[in-house]
Amino acid sequence: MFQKTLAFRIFFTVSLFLIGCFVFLPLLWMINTALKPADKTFTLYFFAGELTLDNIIGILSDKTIMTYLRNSLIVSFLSSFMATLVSSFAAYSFSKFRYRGRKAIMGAFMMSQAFPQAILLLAIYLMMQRFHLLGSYWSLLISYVVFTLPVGTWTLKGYFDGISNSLIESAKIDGAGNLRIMTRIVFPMAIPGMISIAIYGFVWSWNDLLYAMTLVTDPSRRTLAPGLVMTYLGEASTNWAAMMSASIVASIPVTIIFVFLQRYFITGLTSGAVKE
Amino acid sequence: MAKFKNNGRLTDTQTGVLLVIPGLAVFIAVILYPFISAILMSFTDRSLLNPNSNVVGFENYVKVFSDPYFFKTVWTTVVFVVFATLIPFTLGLIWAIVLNQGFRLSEFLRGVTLVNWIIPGTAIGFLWSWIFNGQYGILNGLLTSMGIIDENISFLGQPVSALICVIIARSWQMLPWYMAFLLGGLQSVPQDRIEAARIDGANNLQTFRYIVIPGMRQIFFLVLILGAIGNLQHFDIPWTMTEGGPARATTTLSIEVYRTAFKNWKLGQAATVGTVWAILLLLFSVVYLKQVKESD
Amino acid sequence: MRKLLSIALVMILSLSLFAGGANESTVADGEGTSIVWAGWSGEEEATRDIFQRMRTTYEEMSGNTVNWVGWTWADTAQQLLIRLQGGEQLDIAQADIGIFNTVAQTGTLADLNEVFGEEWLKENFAEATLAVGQIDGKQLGLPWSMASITMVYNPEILSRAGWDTVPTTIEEFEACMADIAALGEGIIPYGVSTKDDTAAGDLMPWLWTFGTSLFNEDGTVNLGPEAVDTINWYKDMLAKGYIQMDIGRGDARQLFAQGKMAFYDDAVVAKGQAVSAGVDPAEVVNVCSAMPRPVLNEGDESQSTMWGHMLVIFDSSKHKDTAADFAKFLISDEVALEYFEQNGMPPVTNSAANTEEVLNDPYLKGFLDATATAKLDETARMTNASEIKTIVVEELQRTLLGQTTAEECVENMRARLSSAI
Repeated sequence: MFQKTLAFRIFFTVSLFLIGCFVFLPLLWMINTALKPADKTFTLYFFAGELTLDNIIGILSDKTIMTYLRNSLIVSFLSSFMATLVSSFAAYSFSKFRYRGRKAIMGAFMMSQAFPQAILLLAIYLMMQRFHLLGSYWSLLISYVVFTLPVGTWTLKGYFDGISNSLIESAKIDGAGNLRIMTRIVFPMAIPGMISIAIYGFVWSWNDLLYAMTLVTDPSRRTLAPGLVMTYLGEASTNWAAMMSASIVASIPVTIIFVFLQRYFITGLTSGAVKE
Repeated sequence: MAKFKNNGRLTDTQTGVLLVIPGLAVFIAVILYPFISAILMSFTDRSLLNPNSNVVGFENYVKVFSDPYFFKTVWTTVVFVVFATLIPFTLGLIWAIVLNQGFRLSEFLRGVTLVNWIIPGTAIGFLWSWIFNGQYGILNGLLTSMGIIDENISFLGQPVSALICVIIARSWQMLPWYMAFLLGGLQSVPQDRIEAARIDGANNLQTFRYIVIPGMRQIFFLVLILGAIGNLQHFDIPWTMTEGGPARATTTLSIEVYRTAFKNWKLGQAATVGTVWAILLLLFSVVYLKQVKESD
Repeated sequence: MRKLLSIALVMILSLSLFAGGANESTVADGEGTSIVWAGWSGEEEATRDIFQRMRTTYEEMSGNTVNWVGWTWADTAQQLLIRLQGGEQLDIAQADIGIFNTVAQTGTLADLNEVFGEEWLKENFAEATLAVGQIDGKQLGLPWSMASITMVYNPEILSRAGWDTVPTTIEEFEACMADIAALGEGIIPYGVSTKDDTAAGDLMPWLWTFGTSLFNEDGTVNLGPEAVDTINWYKDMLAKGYIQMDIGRGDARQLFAQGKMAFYDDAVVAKGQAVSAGVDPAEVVNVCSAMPRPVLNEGDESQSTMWGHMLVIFDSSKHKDTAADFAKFLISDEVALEYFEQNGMPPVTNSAANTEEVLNDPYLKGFLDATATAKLDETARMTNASEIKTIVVEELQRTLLGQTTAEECVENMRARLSSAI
């Protein structure tokens, strides 16, 4: 994209170094903390010093934390799958169909990001209770789907807009029904976009604290973010080392998935929004 | 799209409506209904301490607007949203350009960069309050050992620097997200146009200015809007780092709403702040929708 | 790609089964009653196991089931209120004094005089202890662990600075802080809270020490001229580097546990951070010891704030008897003394509190001594305690940051507090 002139080389090296430091040093510090023995947590040495795997092993052998991790994976996977599916339907509908009220619904979807989520919490809690969903994964899944829906729908709509109508029309002439066109022609072409939305939804559910804490109180179904906070931010003490270790350990499976999927993610996130 | 004869199948309109129903259903249940009930709540003295409430008209609105700190909070929110969006955006763009060069480690670095984004927000808040801590902070330790300072600096204890620290922490969390979007954007800029510009003798800056930026205009718009909305909603990092202090320096609207509702138990008043905020955001959305309409 | 998709689909479907299965409610099997116990300690690293043990021991003994529902300590009040609004089952809860007052305001707590009988309560608790759980003549809270928030010091640091006894007056206290600062070890002399709600909690006993208070007995704002002295004294300490901005309770505990702080204000739970930092529980008293707060003039009464955990039973509970039975089990000598041994929580029943091991515990002694004269936090009985504290902290911070003078600080506080009450 750019010519490797001297100026560009300087820009490249300086940026790589500075932003690299900004991005990775705090992360390395977290790993560093996770590897220190508990009584050395606040000693300011950077890897060069006494290191131990005790914290990491402690987390891995802590059944409760592992349950939280499993729940987070279940809830995040399911909600991102559901959110992607629902967003895809809605986006396809917005992109390729015309009916009354379409624009109003589109606007409403966008607006749903415009209200402080803390305020919505009470009403959502009461509703989940009315439907006897409190404490189940469903209460979280439904909430998370909705919070991914606007971004998902808008991004995927751009994506579907990019698929030419003539392709769809020729399929119709061949006698394909709407369902067949959608599942066989349109959706497969949008897979990178869907993966990007899936990851977006995944991270949303992964990081949520307030909803998870309020809607699910049973430890066997609790997700990681509230689980960590409850375990390590106590009334009397905070265990930073364990908190850092747990965050690092928990992020490993997700990181592997991301590294594996990043190519789809990165191309998918944008090809929807950018049109020729 | 042209209409086709339907032979026992759903019409296009029916299909379109059918497809939007699942999304619409959860949307109505989880957003629209709570949203409307919150707006109604803003006209009551509803409190978390008591399930019964009375209608009080505009009393909450009067209270909110007569609070001498309310406009300061709005201003802090604007500062936070603008900088916590633009800084990671700029850094993310540069980082995307760097990682787009395809050197040996670039694919790996792209994946690992995303880790910041999946560490729980509370853990990030703790990490950065430790870095900036005025007593046992990592940054103070580093600066002291390098001989740059003799006495620890209380980064989080001063109003302006506390806000800067919170913005930096938030930027760190979100940089990967911007990087990912912008990297995709860079890769979608058509190569032939860049080559054509090169043949015309454009240098790097000119290529960037006249080919890359216009080619990414839409993706810029998308990430900036999504990023800004995300920052407006953002709560856990500033709450963990400063609880909105010192002397309200880092209190944004979302912190104010949280504190009013879940520390002071005044749901009605919190809903009022929320409604005012939604109206402010409506202006935002109108701009966004206009942009979308143009491209429709 | 299709293969990948179908694999993903199968995975998702099987996960859905998981999620679906999770819907089955957890009704207890068998004969016994099932009650819900809410709080925070059952979640925390340090207390998770003992809370688990309390429940299982009781379940085995009684045949009833105790379902635990927990949050973080900081979120417990809010989460209890949300749960109460929805009417989910809630029988008994753990509450500290702040949470207790908040929940009591909702009018949903059962009068324990009726649940346990006045007689039984009087037999088992001291009058003053019961009073902490009384509001408007009703016994809404059952004391569980109680002591005071007083000053904590590190004896090792003090002796390095040449102090073998603790300072008793403010004058001595200042001299002591000067000596600690003069050590040049980078130790912060006094970790009084200047951040979050705890800053208001720490300011109150100092206001009392200087001879004033936030509010009068009738609930109007007091803040006499001594309040200006108090704020000026804070400013003076800050200028001399004795205290620091950006210190909350958590920060103070961290620094204190690292041996980088000489004094701060805390309750008995102070021990927790030292233990989790690797100090032997039996030797905590050597680096973390309670003392009476210094007084203005010799002979004044030393000030401290009441601290404690209580058990509350909800009026809406269908199983008040079972909840009461469980509460009695929790405060019984055997359970309470184990809780004390493991986590240092001081028992409160007459029988448990007067055992040798509690009375002679060197760590606990300082806290119990201060408890005799401890007062309730001034916002304790207010519906908007948090709002009041926020106002106090904001104005205090503005002055410490040099944005206002001490006089302006007190005036602003007065104006904002008057309109808030």
